[in-house]
Amino acid sequence: MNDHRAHADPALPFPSLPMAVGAMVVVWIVLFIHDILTGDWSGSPADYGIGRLLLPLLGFIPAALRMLQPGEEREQPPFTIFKRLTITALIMAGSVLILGILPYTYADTGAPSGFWSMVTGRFIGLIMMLGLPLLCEGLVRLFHYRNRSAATRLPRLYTYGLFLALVIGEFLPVVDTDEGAIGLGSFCYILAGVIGLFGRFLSAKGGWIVNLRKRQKIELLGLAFLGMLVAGAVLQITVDGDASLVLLSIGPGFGALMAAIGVTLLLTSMSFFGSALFALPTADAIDRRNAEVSSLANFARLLTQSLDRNHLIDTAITIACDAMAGNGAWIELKQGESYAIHLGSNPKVPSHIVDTIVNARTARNLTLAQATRHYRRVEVVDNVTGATWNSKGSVQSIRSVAAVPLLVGGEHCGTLYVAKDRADGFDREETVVLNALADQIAMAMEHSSVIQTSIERERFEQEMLIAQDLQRRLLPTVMPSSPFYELFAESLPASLVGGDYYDVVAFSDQTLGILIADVSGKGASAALYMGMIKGIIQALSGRCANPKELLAQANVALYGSIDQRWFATMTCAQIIDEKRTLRIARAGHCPTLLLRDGAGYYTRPKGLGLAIAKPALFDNNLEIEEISFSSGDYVVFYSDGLPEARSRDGQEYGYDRLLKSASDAGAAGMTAHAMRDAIFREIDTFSEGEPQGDDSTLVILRWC
Amino acid sequence: MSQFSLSVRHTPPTQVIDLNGFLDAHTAPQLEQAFQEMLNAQHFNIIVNFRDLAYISSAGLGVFMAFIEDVRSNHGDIKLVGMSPKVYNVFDLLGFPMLYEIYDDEHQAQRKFIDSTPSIG
Repeated sequence: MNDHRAHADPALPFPSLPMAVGAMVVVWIVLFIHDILTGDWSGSPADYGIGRLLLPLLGFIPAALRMLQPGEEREQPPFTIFKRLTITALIMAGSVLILGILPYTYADTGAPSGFWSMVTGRFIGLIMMLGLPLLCEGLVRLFHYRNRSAATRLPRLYTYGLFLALVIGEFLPVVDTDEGAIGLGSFCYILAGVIGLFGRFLSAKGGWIVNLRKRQKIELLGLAFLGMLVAGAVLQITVDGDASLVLLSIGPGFGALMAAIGVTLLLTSMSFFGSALFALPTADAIDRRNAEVSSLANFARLLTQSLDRNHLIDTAITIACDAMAGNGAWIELKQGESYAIHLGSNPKVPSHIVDTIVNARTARNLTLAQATRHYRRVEVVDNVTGATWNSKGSVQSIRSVAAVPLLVGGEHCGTLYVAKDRADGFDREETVVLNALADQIAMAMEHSSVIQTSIERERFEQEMLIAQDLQRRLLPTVMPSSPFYELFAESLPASLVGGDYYDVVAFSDQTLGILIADVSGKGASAALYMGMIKGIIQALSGRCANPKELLAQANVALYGSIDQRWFATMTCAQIIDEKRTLRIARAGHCPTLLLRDGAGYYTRPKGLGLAIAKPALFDNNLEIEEISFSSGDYVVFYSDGLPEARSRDGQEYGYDRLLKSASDAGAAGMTAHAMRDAIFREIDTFSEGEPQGDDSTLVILRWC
Repeated sequence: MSQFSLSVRHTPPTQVIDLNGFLDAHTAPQLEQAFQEMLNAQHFNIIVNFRDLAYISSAGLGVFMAFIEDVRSNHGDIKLVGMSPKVYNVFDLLGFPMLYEIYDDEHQAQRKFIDSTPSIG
């Protein structure tokens, strides 16, 4: 037999249903023409030659092969399969009625007595030929449903049994014609009985019935009842004198096989009828459970899609209320140290009633809300009193409430409440579902807040990048130069924006001013103050004659105008080209590094930081220093980020190393730009790439 | 990285704040809170001991500026003692010695407070 190979090779193209039906119709037409041409129709079916017997077999093979098709491709709900089976059997049984309506007579030999009787018989035969393999296939599918594991061989055996029966049922009488067709017919009936019992054994696996919806169970009950009737009718055909002769015209064993299938269908229908009947009382409970499970699944999907917190809370409230068949639901959420109650967009219970319920006393004299936080599990209050109100003329009340904690990472973040208008509204099953629901809600809230935070962070970073760009534009892009000097400046903020500032300005006599400033604090706040200082300096510089005046005026503008904690340091220098002279005033800023005639040192004229002291005190303590230079001298302005740069082990770079590094570069006669490179390179080597906490600004003036 | 701690001692007629570690933008609020609590408790004779302070940033300096006017308008003072040369340098660059009394050790500051509170004696 080739059935085994067909199984082993899933790539084998199994015949489609139209193909199987088509093959049978073709075979039937050939049979019909053959019988007319040879006159076989008027003879006894027992006298059929071997060719006549083998022909129907050809018709059955494609249909039988379909039974061997691997189960994965034909998984269908058993309810649907059973429905088709019943309808098929109904058509088969119903078709026999035609025999009673149309003229149908037969001779003693079992052959039709006239041509029209033959045509009628053959037409019924066609319906039986088409119906039987469909019944076989349906039964095989039914018994294979969720039974495909290798451990269960029974459905497989049943399939082979049916396959063989379809073939042997046709073939056997031919092999053993000497013994007589009747003996073999008996054998086929025995075979049918065995197969039928086998089928009954398998059909007991009706576990799927329990999970049907109540409506479907009722439907199945009716269907199974119909199935019993039609299966009985199919059995009747196989033993009824008139009709059974029709079956003989297809083949001697066909009737026996149909009896076997009829028995199986009958027993299956009885079994399903019983199962559906017994499952009915629990149908409501199971329906509810299934609704809960599917609402949980829906919920998980909904929640992960919703990023808006209010929408999420709304959805959670609605779904929790629906899943529990509650009369109201709300969520209490932690906000900082306190808890706030969210009633959702369509509250069913008025807020004063909600307050009453939340404050309902439970055991140990805790409010319901406190109990939930305390015990971290579902709390049910079964005898709520005083929660009654009027709505649209009718009295509404809440009699039982379940409160379940929302936990994120073990932390209590809120409570979900579901209320019902009857006492003892929550059974153990429901509290289990409520717990699962609460976990889903808590998870979704966490999910939404994480995403929200990351969106906000991204937006913030975008804005900081814009701020960084703006701040960069507050610094001069091109530094002035003259035959007497060369200037280079650079500022590197420690984060995206910083509080360091440098600028070039023109004093009232059009001499050039160089400024470096460091605003207290770091990051965004420092950057805002830096922008403000830039504005003040730009506004004042043209009206001031020298650095001392500019700083004094800036202090007047800044002192007392902003946060007391805030201050800035600044060094301002005025270049007088022709004399190669610099006037320097310092408002609390780092000492200025000078390289004069090969000697390096710091200069530190007296001066308080800006916005620290009242104008009088500030002015009295502000010195201005005038220093002359010669060609090849340098003036290095910097912010404290340079001397305070730290190495990996926490050592400060310090003023001495800075002085040495600048002196070495100066001794080599470097350009201002090259000196900047040299200084930063030294600091990088010292700090070993350690990220620095402070902004670094460097302004280098080289006298030509 | 920035480790900072402070403790408060009551040494009549003064309150002494001992600073330890790194005083920067992250840790400055702690000191601010300590000052605020003192002002709330009507303590205006304050000594800040810098002996164990390793580093102070501009934000740290700002804390002193925030309270000095309040304290002085209540006839008190914030006196700073025990600074390491490096920390002193930061104060000095900004001109803080013009605004605050800075002493080498706590006793000098104590004596100064006792001498300047005749109303108590």
